[in-house]
Amino acid sequence: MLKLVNLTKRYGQTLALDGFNLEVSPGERVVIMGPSGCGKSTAIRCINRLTEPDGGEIYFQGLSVLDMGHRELLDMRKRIGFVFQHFNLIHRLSALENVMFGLVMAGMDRRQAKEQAIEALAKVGLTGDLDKRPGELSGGQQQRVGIARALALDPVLMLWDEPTASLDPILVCEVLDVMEELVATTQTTMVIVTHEVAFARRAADRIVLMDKGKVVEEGPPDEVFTSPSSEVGRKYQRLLVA
Amino acid sequence: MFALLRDGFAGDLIILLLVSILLGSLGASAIAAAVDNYFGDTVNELIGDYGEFDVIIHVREEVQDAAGQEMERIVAEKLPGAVYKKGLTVAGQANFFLSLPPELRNRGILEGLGGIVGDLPGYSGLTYIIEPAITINSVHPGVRSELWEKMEQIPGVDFIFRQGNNLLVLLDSVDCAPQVSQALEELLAGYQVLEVRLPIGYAAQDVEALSEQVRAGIARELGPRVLKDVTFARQGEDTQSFLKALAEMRRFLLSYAAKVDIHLEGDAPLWVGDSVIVPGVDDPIVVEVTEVSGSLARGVITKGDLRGVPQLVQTGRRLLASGEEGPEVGRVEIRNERLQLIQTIDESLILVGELDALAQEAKGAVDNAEKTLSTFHQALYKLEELQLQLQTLTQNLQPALEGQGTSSQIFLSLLINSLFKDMLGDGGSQVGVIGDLDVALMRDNLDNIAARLEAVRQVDLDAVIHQMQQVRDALPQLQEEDMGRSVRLINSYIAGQVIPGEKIDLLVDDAVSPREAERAVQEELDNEYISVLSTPAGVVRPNTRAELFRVLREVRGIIAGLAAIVFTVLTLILDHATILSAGRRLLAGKKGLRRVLNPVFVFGALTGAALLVPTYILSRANIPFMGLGQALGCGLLLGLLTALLAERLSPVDDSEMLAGEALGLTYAQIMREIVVPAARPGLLQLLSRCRRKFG
Repeated sequence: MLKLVNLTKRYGQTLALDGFNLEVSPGERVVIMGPSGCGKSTAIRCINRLTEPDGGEIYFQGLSVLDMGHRELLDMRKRIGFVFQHFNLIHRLSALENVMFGLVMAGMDRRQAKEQAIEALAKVGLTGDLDKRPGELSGGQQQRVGIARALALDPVLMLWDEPTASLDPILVCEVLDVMEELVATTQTTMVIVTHEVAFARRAADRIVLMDKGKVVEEGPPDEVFTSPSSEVGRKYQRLLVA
Repeated sequence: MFALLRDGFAGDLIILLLVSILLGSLGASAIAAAVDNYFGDTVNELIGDYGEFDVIIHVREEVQDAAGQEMERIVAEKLPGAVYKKGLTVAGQANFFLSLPPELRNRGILEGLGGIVGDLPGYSGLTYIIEPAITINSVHPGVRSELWEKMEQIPGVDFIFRQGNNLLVLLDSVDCAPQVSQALEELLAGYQVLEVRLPIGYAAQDVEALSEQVRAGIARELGPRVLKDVTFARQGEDTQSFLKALAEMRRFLLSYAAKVDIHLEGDAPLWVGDSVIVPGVDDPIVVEVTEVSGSLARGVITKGDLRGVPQLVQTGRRLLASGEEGPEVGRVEIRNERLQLIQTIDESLILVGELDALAQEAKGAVDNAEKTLSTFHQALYKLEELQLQLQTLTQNLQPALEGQGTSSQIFLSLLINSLFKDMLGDGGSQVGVIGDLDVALMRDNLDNIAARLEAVRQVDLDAVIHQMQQVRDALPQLQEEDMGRSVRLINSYIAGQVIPGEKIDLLVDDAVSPREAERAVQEELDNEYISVLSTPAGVVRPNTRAELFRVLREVRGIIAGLAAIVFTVLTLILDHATILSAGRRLLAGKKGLRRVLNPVFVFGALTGAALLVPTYILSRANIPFMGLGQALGCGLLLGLLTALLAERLSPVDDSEMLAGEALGLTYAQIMREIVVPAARPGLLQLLSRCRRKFG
């Protein structure tokens, strides 16, 4: 489904990705974890070229993403759902319109898009306040709209970029519940960047630990958190124990 | 940046540019036209309709009522048939509009109008708005009279009158204005005034001589092109006369001032303006150097007097600025020309006084000589007769000499014979010699002398003596130092008045090249710092109303230009700043050339130019010193500034754009659906609304 080979990315003097490798099978839920600034978000954004890598290779469904033309790239993006840390909702649009937005812009009939959007919103537990604008919703609600927007596209791959990092602790559960529900009820391939160790342990098929732009450890959650081989893994283990 | 233009957004941008230019041009034109109309109406209210009035008389606002009453009286008494009305009060000045009847529209009245209304309370001048007329500005006084005659010959010219340095050419009708204007321009183009500017400190003691030298230099190099020296003509006629009188006075004083020659001997050079001190009769004499030529310097006495000494030769010393005597400069020779002249006149007066008596006595002597000559002539005649008688007697007494007579006869015969021989002499007859004298010629000569003496006597010697006495009395009674100071004072005045800023004005024909003339003058005066400028003999200008409307047109152009700039700035801020801001967001993190030659800045600058230049042209904008090149530069600069400040002028929500990208939207869609709707309301927002799917 997805293969990242030896990805590199540099921001000025800072090396964000230093030969990052990742392979994701269809339907697999991969959780990427690591300390802040280790390159998690950069890696996930490189997948659909929201951030252009400096080097390496990316393959999505067997196609080289970095060799894609403009149109191909846009088509690929439509098949990948992306959930942002800061929700990234369009403020002038209502919750429903935000979810409809991608569908309508992709050429779907407006009525059908609305139905599909309502359905997606229902999946994340939002059935009311659909006409409210993002500014009128709570953080949790906003993120759920963001998740619904990604879901509505019926993507083959969902990328989650620290979806709970901007939320109050009370609202984190609200989003994590939705995420766990989705993991449980759908077969969509997911790559999730998060610091939520408990969620990762419950939801992930595989944990990938990163440090300084590289994968330092990966494996099933039980293995990684029970007998970590890396310093990063040991830190997360201590968190679980605590 | 140019990724933004893909997917159809370039079309949006082109439409935006075209609509912006169209609206900007229309808006700028409309604003300018409104201003133009407003001012045009104001002008018409201010100075009346075309030809309605001839003159505006300005008086101080606070006395306008009194001026109005006086105006009524003046019009009734001195300008019968004229009509006046009080106009607007502007900047503390009340204005009376005066319309003259046809019979008063003549040169005399118009030129004398200032004198006629000059007694109005608070009078502060007048402005001619007479129509139809053409004004010639800054007519050089030196060419005025020459032009005047030729202008009057131009068909369509009614008459001409003068207003200060301007000439107002009244026309028969407004229709002939273009032809007359062209003829006037052609006439003026035949002349030019060359201003020969002398460098600061250039010593020009004798302006006329200097002018003559300059003219000679130009004539030698360029042919006889100089028509006349018009340096003095800039002055008024009275001033001109006064200056000429001063120049003559200076020449007069210099004629009688003591002549000072300084034969330089020292090593230190002497310059014009330096002072030299010489031991005088009583007190030392100070001489100011006025001319230096090789080892000879000349000067005038500025302190001290010769005390009646006709000539003085002394060793001179430099007079230092401190007042002390410096080193010797050479032998100073002072000749008191005035004293020598007085002495000569005094002696001549004595001589002339004696001349009458002398002629009288000479006449008596000639008369006596004539009488003596007559007596001599008679005596000579008698002597010839006696000689003949003695010859006869001698012949009669010959026998007695030969011993044939008595002793008394013999004695008498010997006596007569001896006498006869004495008279005849040894070599010939002495009487004959005397007789050879040309008595007639001698008499003629005496007559001539007598006639001349008579002529001398006929001369009115009393009158001659009187006049000579007057010349003597008229000689300057000033002391030498006074004369020197007077000459210096006159010099300074003439230098300041005649050649203000040290310049000479020459009227020349249009064929003279100022550059060539400059070179000629520089060579002639051996000074490379002299410059020559050419100014026209006069400049044809439209009349007051046309000038006002010309100014209004300029104002309209300026307003249009400013409006075009404002409109461009607004469009850049409201619409293009958003696009540029989005472009900057897309370029964030880009490396290499795009960081150096940022496409956003290039795009911004080009957009600014693409907006301003067509708007400037289409709105017929015309800001002074701002042609199309400057407008292009201004547009580029405004666009560049907008690009630099884009993120502050119109910040773009990066998270929304990123969401759009993640959803697979094209940049055109992102711009239309996300960026533009969130930006400031502007044309772009309005135009993209129809293509927007949400809202």
